[in-house]
Amino acid sequence: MAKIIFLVDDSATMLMSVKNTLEMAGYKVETAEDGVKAMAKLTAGLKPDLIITDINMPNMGGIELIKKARALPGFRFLPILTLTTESQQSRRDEGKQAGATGWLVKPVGGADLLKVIKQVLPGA
Amino acid sequence: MAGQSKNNRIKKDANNILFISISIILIIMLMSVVFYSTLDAQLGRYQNIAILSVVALLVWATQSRLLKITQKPFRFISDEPVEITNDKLHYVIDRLSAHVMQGDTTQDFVKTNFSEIEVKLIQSMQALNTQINSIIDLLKSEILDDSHDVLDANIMQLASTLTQYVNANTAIEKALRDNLKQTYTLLLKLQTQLEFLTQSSVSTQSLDIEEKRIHNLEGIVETHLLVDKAIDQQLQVVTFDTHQSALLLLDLMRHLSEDAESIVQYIANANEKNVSKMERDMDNSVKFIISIEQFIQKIQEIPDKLRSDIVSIQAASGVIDGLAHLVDSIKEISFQTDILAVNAAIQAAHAGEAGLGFKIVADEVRKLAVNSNNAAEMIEMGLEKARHTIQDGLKFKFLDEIMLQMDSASQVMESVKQLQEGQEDMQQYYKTLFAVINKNNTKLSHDISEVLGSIQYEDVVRQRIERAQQVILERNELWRQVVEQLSTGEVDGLITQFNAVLSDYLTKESYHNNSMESSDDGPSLKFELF
Repeated sequence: MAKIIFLVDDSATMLMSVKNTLEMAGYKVETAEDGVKAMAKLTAGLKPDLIITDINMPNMGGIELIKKARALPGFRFLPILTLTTESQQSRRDEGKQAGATGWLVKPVGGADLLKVIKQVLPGA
Repeated sequence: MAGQSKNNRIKKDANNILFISISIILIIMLMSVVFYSTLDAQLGRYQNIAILSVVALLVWATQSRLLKITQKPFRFISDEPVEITNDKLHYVIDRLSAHVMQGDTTQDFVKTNFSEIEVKLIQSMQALNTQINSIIDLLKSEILDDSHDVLDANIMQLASTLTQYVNANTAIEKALRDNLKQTYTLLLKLQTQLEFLTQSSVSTQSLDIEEKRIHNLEGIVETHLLVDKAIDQQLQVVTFDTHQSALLLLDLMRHLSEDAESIVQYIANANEKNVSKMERDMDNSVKFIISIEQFIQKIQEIPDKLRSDIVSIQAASGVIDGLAHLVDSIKEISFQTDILAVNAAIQAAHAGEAGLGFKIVADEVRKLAVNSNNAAEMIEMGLEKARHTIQDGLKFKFLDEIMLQMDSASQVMESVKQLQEGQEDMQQYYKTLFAVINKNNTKLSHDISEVLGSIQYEDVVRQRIERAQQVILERNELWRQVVEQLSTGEVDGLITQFNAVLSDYLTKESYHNNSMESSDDGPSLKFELF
């Protein structure tokens, strides 16, 4: 059974490129364009094995999405990675406090991304 | 540049003071001559001096452009004559305002271009994605010849899109730079004029409020230049990123193309070298199979043949046995004939001379009996011989058959062996082929994945330009306020706002990864698990 990765980013190119990389590696990928749409999918019953989210997005950003997702039942220990252009320590700390599992800075090559995913998704 | 123009101005001021002073001296001299000439009756003594003075004054006035100087006492760097009023300032600000409007057009250009690039990139990636899937399908179905051209076409298309992307980025970068350059030139002019106005305000003892407004404007201009400098630095990063990503993508494209090429090359070579051999093997296999079929048919035929042979043997034996009975009957008849002949001879002897002739007949009959017996013996022997011959014949026939069948069997064994070898060869061939395809396919997937990863640069660049766009919009809005408030009220609050825009922009930029600076910190910053 393929693991489900939920990808949240407002950039269509990002969604396309990361989705392709993940699907080629055998994962099932769900996508959303911002935090609001992502929350709608999660509350509607989507149960991903991993969430990868951008930080700067319209309507609802990544930090708020992580906080809200963590509050959902069954999402307390779900790995959530950020994938953003932001790299400053204070922003990383914000992400960590919100409940992110790890912080990735764009651009990330396919091999590197898969390596990190394997670390947070054991047995995948 | 500003210092040089200041020096020029000081020189010009010194010249002005010099020729005004000389003019005054000459006028005083002329006045003195006129005055003394009225007092003294001897006018003629001073007349020559007066005429000389007037001529000297006229020559001086002409040479020193005195007339011009009185009408246009100051000159600006813009080489356009202006009054020492706020009109020029308004004129420059109007131009600046117009330029700001032009800036909006640049924004639209940037926005449109980026949307187009994004759409094109997505289209290319979709095409590439479809192609990758079709290649994988084709690899599974082992038909690759056509797919290579399609892959090539797609790679070419993607490469061309990337070139467009790079060109468009360069165009955007150039447009933004031109925009900044124009703003910078205009602002330098404005700054120079403000310096003049400050000086003229001091020299003409203008109001303190006017001076303060001008200082405020100078502050705004300074901040504006800082904002532009910050944007310019980010644009350099954008250019750097774009070039880096383009180089990376092109390199990866090359890898992709090589991977695809090597798969197709391998398969093409494999075909050339092995297909004919495989065809021969296949032909041979078909032959082997036919001979096996024939052998099997023969094996199936054997029981029928055996049965018919046995029947023939039984029939032949029956006939021989029947003939043997006849021989026995002949032997019996010849025996009885012999006894009959003996009895006849005895009876003939009893008859005496009368029986002499009869005795001769009896002897002959006896001879006939003996001959019959001999003949029967001979027939028996002949039959025995015939039986042997039949049996021997059958024996030889079986042997031949067996030899033939043994021969076929060994041929079949050979065929089976060859068939097996051929199959092993084919298995090995396909094993190697698929190992190579699999290896290349994995490499292809890896390279494609890396290409897709590096397309993320587009997002990084887009965000950086969006932030630059945002700060230009905010700055332009502040300039509009400057233009509005310049004639009506105070502008000192705007400096704070300008500084806030700059600091906000710099803070936002500092949050983001700078690819030109982060090379030392490298990968540790790229990825962190909490």
